[in-house]
Order: sequence, then C-alpha cells, then structure tokens
Amino acid sequence: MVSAVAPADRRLRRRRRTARAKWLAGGVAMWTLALLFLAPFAWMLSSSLKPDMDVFAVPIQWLPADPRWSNYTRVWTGAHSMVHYFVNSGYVVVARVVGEVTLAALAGYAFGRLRFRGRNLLFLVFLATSIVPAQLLLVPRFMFFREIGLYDSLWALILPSLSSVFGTFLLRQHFASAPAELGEAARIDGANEFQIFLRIYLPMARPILAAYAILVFDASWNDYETPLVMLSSDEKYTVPLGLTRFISDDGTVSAALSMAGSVSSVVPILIFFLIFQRHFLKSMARAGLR
Amino acid sequence: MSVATKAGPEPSARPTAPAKKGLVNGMRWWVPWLFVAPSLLGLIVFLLVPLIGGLLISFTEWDVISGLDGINWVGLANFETLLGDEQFWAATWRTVIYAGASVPLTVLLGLGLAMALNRPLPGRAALRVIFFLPAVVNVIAIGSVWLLLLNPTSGLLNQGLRWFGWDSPPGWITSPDSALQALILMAVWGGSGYISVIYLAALQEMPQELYEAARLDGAGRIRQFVTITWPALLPMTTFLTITQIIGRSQTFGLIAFMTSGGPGDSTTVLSYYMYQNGFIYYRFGYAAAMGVMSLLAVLVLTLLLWRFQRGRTLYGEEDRDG
Amino acid sequence: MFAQQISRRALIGGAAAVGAALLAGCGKEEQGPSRGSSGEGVLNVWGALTLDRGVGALLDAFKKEHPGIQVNYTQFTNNSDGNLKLDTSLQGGAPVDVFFSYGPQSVSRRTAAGYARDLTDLAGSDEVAKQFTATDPQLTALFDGRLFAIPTVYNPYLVYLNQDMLDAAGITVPEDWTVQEFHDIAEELCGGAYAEFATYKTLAIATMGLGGDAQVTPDGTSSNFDHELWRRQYELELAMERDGTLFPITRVLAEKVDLYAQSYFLSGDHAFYLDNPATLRFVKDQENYPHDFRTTFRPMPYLERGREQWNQGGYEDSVQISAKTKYPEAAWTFVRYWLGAGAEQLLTAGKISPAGMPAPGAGADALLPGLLGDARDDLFDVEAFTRVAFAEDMKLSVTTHTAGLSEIGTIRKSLDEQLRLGEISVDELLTQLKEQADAAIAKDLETNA
Repeated sequence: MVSAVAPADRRLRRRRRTARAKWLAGGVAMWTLALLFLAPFAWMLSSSLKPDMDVFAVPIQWLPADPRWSNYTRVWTGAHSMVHYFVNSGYVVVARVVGEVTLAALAGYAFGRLRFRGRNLLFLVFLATSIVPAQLLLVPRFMFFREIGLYDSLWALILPSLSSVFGTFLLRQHFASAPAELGEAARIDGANEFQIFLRIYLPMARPILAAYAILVFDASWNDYETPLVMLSSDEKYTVPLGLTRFISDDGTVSAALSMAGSVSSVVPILIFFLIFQRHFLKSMARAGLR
Repeated sequence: MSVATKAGPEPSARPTAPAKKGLVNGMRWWVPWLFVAPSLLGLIVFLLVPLIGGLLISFTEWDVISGLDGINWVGLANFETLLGDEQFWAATWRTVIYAGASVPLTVLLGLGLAMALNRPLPGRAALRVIFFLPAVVNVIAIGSVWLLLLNPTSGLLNQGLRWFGWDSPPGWITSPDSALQALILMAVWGGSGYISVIYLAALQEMPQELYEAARLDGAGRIRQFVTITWPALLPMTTFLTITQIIGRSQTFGLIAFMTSGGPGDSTTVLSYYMYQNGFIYYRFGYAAAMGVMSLLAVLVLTLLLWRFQRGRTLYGEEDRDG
Repeated sequence: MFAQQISRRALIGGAAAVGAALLAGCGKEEQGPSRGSSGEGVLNVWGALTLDRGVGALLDAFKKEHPGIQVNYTQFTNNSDGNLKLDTSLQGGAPVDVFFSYGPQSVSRRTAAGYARDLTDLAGSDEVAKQFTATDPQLTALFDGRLFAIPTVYNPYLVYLNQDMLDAAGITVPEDWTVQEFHDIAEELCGGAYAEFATYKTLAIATMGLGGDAQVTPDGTSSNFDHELWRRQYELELAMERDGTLFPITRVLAEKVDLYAQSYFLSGDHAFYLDNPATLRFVKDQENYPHDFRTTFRPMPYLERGREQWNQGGYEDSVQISAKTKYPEAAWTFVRYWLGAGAEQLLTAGKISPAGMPAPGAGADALLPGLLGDARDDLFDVEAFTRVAFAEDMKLSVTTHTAGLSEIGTIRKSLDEQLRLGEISVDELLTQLKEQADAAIAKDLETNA
C-alpha cells in the first residue's frame, strides 16, 4: 500500500510543478503581449504631461523630463472646464446602460425562451437591422429628430440606441441555453411569465448582463458621431465632443491638453470595467464550487 | 430613466394550464409580444423611419444644405453612375480585402485571448482590463501610438523585422502597397480585446460538467475544444463575425486619422469614399446610393453566413446527441 | 438643464411631420418679421475661432459697448464635420444669425443655398467693407456682382525664416528672391547640415502666376492643369523631394505631420516655414514651443525678379448674415464691430482685419503688440515682419470658380503623394489630374445647372 501511494504523491507534486511552470510561462507570454495593448494608454498618459511641441517628437520620450501637471488643471478648472461634459455623458450613459440592458434582456428572453408565432422571422428582421450602415442613417435621422424636436437634446443620443440588436442577440443566446425545467417548475407553482423571467432566469444571466453593460457603457461613453450631428450647444456636449475643443479652428491640435482630457475621460470606463470585472470573477468562483 | 422603468411589461398572463383555449404553450399569445414590444418600437421609430429616408435620398441629387426644396429626384441615375464608377469598385474591393482579412483574424485572436484569460494566470484581472483598453482609448491616442510603431525607419515593428533578417521591410502607411495591411493589423489589434470580453463571458457559462465528463473519457485539451467548446461557441462566433464584418465595412475614424484614404487612394475603402462624396463633395444622393449598395452586399453575406452556421450547429447538435 | 421629456404624441406627430415634409417638400422655416434695432437683439453667432484666441475678449468688449445685443457664440471646427454641423443648423436645426464661412467653396455653397443675406448695400456704406464690393480689383467672391460674404482677415502668405541658421551659414536672403534662389538657398542650408530639411511646404507656382483661379480655365468650365506653370510647380516639388530639401513624403505620412508641421520649424530642424500670419501664435508661444532663435520674414519667392505676382493667401474668414435672422440690424452692428473696433482682440490669434491695415508707409506699430507679443524683439525680426506682411505690392489671390473645388483637392492630394513616392511621373500626374479634374468640374456644373 505504501509503495502504491508514494508514486501517486510524486506524480501529483510533479503535476503541480508543471502547472505552476505553465502558469508562469503563460503569464510571461500574456504580459508581453499586454505591453502592446497598454502602449496607447501609456502614450496618452505621457503626452498629457508634456508641452505641445514634444508630443509627436520622434524618438518618443515615454517619461516626460518635466511633467506638466498644469495640463490637467487647465482641462479641469480653466475658464471652460470639462465638468459639464462629464455630467452630460454620465446622464446619457446611465440612461443607456439601464435602458439597453433592460430592453435587450426582455427581448432576448422572448426570443430565447418563449415560443410564439413569427418568432424566428421577427428575430431575423431584428438581426437584419444591424447591417444598415450608420452613414446612410445620419442625415435622415438628423432631419427626423429636428422635426420631432429632439435636436440638440440628450434624448437624441439615448432613444435611438435603446433597442440594441447586439444585446438582444447576446441575451437570446444566453436564455436559449438556460435549463427549461426551472421555468416549468415555477409555472406549476403558479408564477406568471414575467415573474419567471424576473425571479429565475434574469438572476442567472448576471455575468452576461455585466459583460453587456460594459460594452454599452463603452459605446455610449465614446460615441462621437451621434452627438456631433445631434447636438449644437456647448452646454449639452458630451465628453468626446468636448474633447474636440482642443482642436483649434485651423485643425491644429493642442495635443497635450487633448490627451489630458482623454486620460480623464478613460478613467470612468476603467472604473466601471474593474467593478464588473469582479462580478465576472465571482460568478467564476460560483461555477467552480458547483 | 423613465424609459427604463416603463419598459417592463405588466405581469399580466395568469398562470394557466396548457390545455386552455387561446393559449400557446401555456400563455396568452400576446405575452411574448409584450417582452419584444419596447425593442421593436424603438427599431421602427429610430431605425426603420430613417432607413426609408436614406433609401429615398439615394434616388435624388441632393446637397442637404439646400433643404428639402433642393431635392432633385433622379430615379436610378445614382446607381447607374455607381456601376460605371471605377473608384467605387476599387473602394469596394479594398473593403472586401480589409474586412475579409481583419475579421477572421480578429475573431480568432479574440477567442485565443479569451481562452488564455480563462485560465489561471498571474495578474489575470489586470490583464483582462489591459486587453480591453484599445476599445476605450480614443482614436487619436491609438493612431498616434501606431504611427510610432509603424514608422518605417524608427518604428518598433520594422526594427523587429530587420532583426529577423528582413532587410527591406514594408513602408506600412507610407507606401501604397502596404498601407492597407497596416490598417488590417491595427484593426485586429483593436478589435480582439473587445471580442475576448464577449467570448470570456460565454466561456464562463460553459457547463463544467461537460469538460469533466470529457476528461474522464480521456479527451485532451484539443479534443475538448473541438468537441465541446467550439460547437458551443459557434453561434456566438457567427454572430461576432457578422457584426465585425458590418463594423469593419463601416470603419472610418481610424482611417481618417491614419491615412485619410492615402497614400494615393490605397486606403480609400468604401466607407471613406462614401464620406468623401457625402460630407466633402456634398453629393449626398450619390453617397446614399453607395450606402444602399453596401447594405445589400452585407445583407447577402449575412444570409450566407447565417445559413452556413445553422447547418453547422444542427450537425453539431446531432453529433452530440448521437 | 437636461433635455425636455418627450411625449408619445410628440413622437407620432413628428413621424407624421417628417412624412408630410418629405412628400410635400416643405421643410423651410418661415422667415420671421424683422425685430430689434441696430442696438437691440439676440444673435447666435457661429465661428471657428476658439474663445481663448481672442473671441472671448471680443465678445466681452462687444457686450460692454452694445448691452442691448445678446450674443451666443457657437464654436465649430473648420473641418467637414464642423461645417456639416453649421450647414444643418442653417437649415433650421438651430438658430443662426451670423456665421463664418472658411474657404471659397463654403461661401458659395451657403450663398447658393440662399442662407446668406445680400450685404452689397450695407457694405457700400461702410468704409472698410466697401472695398469688397468692388470688381476692379476684385478682392473676394461676388455672386452676380453682389456681395454675400465679407472677409474679416487679411491673410497673406509669408516665408518665416530661421535667422540664426542663416547667420550661421553666412547666407543673406534678398528681399526679391526668386524661386531659383529659394531652391538654391535650401540646398545650401541642407548641404551644409545647417538644417535637416529646408521646408515642409513647396511653392504654389501656378497660383503665383495665375491667381486664385489657377486650377481652371478663365471661363471656369474645365481645368487648367495643362498650363505650363503647373508642370513647373510639380517639377520643382519633385526636384526638392529628390534632393532632400523638401521634408520627405514618407515622413509626412509616417509622422502625420499635417497636425503640427510648425514644430519642425520651431525646433530648428527646418529653415523655412511657409504660412499666413496664423503661425505667429506658435512662434510667440514660448511655453509650448520653446526656442531660442529669431524668426525673420521674406516675401514669397518671385517667379521672375521684379515682376508683380499673386500671393497665394487671400482675404479670408468671411462673415455672412443669415437670410433668416430676425435681427438683421443688430447682426450688421456685430459684423461691423468684428471688422472694426473688435478686431484688435483677434490680433493675438494672428488675425489681421482688413480694417486694421496700416496706411502705406505708416508702419504697423499699433498691431505689433497683439500680433507678435511682448517678447517680440527677442523672437522676431520685427522690422522684416512689418515690411513683408504689409508690402505695398501685395496682391492677394481670389478664388471665384468653385465647381468641383473640394474634389479636385482630394485628387491633387492623392496624385501628389504618388508623385513624391515615385509611383508616377510628372507627365502621368498632369495627364491624370487634368482628366479627373475636368470630370469633377463637369459633374458639379451639371448638378447645379
């Protein structure tokens, strides 16, 4: 018996060792690759602390010799600070994340879990709408919004995006693969369809909802074209449009200020991502325990 | 906010036995429609209406600036001109190359990243954020860093290529022969992180029991991937491929910043050519006609991919069942 | 503060409205009755100059002088996106009373669409604006002899030169230097390693000889690229690209130079910089562009010594008054103020109002603090600037034919890149340019016929 245990133990230890080596090797490879993905952000950070002339200088100086923090004070406290752009963007983003996730979950659930006549055809129509080129819609949308009085209003940014084909698909895929038995059991217990959706299937969808929320946050926070066409007054501008303030009339860019503004604008997304990242991990841990 | 709270339909359908009259699968026929209604309404109002507008514009000669009075109906003239427009066909071909090369590579790299990030790694949480970064950093920053990387003499990329023994590496965006390749490279880099977030979410939902069962059967990693992971991810892959094709065929910002369609016309893809005709030359009718053409092209492509995927999944499911 | 809520009725009503509008083709707003007076009104002004470049100060000063007129200034970037925004607003998206149009194509497009008020009579009664209604010499674009846009900036092209570099090389640049001397000095500076490259831009030879309409034949119906001066222009450019005096195209492309070309001059790498006075603001900006050499000025090189020629700069940044404005009189008050009393606030941005032009021989002392800043004696050859910028023989160019103009711009950029990269020859460039530009002009003329 003793002789039987010892090799198994050794094998286990060896397997642990190789797992650890793999863990390390994978880490080195991934972090090297990560540097390439980190570079633009590092460049923004470094440029935001330079005088304009040095921003595009070749070869690049990654650590500015004399960091100019004043670029940030100018962006935030100057005569035209960026605060109200952030407030506007925050408003749009909250409305869009809540709205888009809700609508996509509802529609995705119907397409994935409920059976009704015309479902597949309707779903195809839904998907088909996503292939319309945005540039084709720009001008008519502008004219339409002007007619209904939404021009130069933040709702012009929120309303058109609420129905998301992408989100609907993402959640349909999720709900379609969820186990049917749970809903049937609840139905026998007297729950109605909406209760089944809300109490049973929706909580299970948390990781995918979180992932989708991140994508919506990202898309709405960075949306440039829609506000460009739909907004005209500075007090309604969102962050990406506010950043164009650093491009002067003749197209020259105050690159340093623009980057100080850009770095500031990326921070909220990163925070949001980090928060929901934990959510991913938690659901991972749960999956592991099961 | 009001939108969000209003959106949920009232809990209305009483629980009933499946046999009751007027019910489909145990609920009233309109219950599913309540779930779909908010999204459907949004699509009709904010997409269908402008789309009809766009279609109408494609039958006109219009500079937008002269208002609705200045619309000049020309029937199919724009489409006729398009068919004979060499630049249009050249731009279309460039778009096909650009999307055709970048989309599969992006999706594959995204999948690879997601699989790697789904395994234990030092600093995994941080890595996940980092690979997602390109999706949140603005175009000017991304473009500027790539200008540094792609610089034909001092750029990291060509220094690396020379180190590997390539004496005259490509000029990237400074040469008409390689500018499109440079943009493809950037597209793959920029899109894969985004794709990996979605794949990662899907991977985390994979039932672990399947893998355990496969391991007990003695299946290796590759076999596990081929028999379990890939079939399960196939619908997602198809969808991501389609959305990426759509996205890539509309790529504009990065091209405008990096090359403005040049050198020469070497990176004037369809979306850029459309932009030039609409927003620079003020030929909005002509630009809309191009939009309609690319809409039709993508529609056909999507239907093909969709059919292909449906066939595959059915096959896959049968395989698993059997 | 935030957007108004919208009701379902508004949505449905809107959908109906847009449908009806598309069917009936009635989208234009009714023209309201004139309100206000020359001292009273609410004006929405759209311009590209940012507030920190003097516009803020101008608006403050205007407010003090005309408390009855409220001005809301909207800044738009002068690129295709920004101009589209203004165009859509002009169409009725947002109120616009006074707006700036940059470049002949914008002016003519907005004028042709009927968005601009005829200013001929008003301008005729104004000391400064009067000169723009004239046809001999014609200083700006007129439409059927009428004036719809008044230029607000005197914008000649100058050659900025690095004086210290010239001193080190022992070179004196004559005031009436020729194109040949320009090229020779460039070679000398690069050959002696005083400069990495001589210049970022090449010379607009054709415009020098033919004026603002150099791209088209006199009647404007076809392109003029078979003119001998165009060949000369592209041959010079190619020669300078090859002998290394011109900043090479590969670096232009690789480094995205169009955003910050002035950096190379101010870092001392380039000997010359060819631009209008707008670049003065970078030269005097020691915080962002620290440098320790003195900048001097010369006129654009001459095609032929002693012969008068065109300057590729012009009277630019044209202001227009909306045809729909409810306060035309207040708008005119504002335009006059921008051109006149307010203009000194814009000097810091390098914008010289035609009204502020010094009389011949009078010196420009009043303009210098604003244009060149407080450290002007250290940074500039002030005397040379005055002499060159306000030269008596300055003949600014005017562009009156705008058909196909922006498309020709795209075509030229594309072919120019191919030429400098060695993909095509000058002959091939000229043949293709002529052919494509003719097509672009024909297309535009046909559409607008």
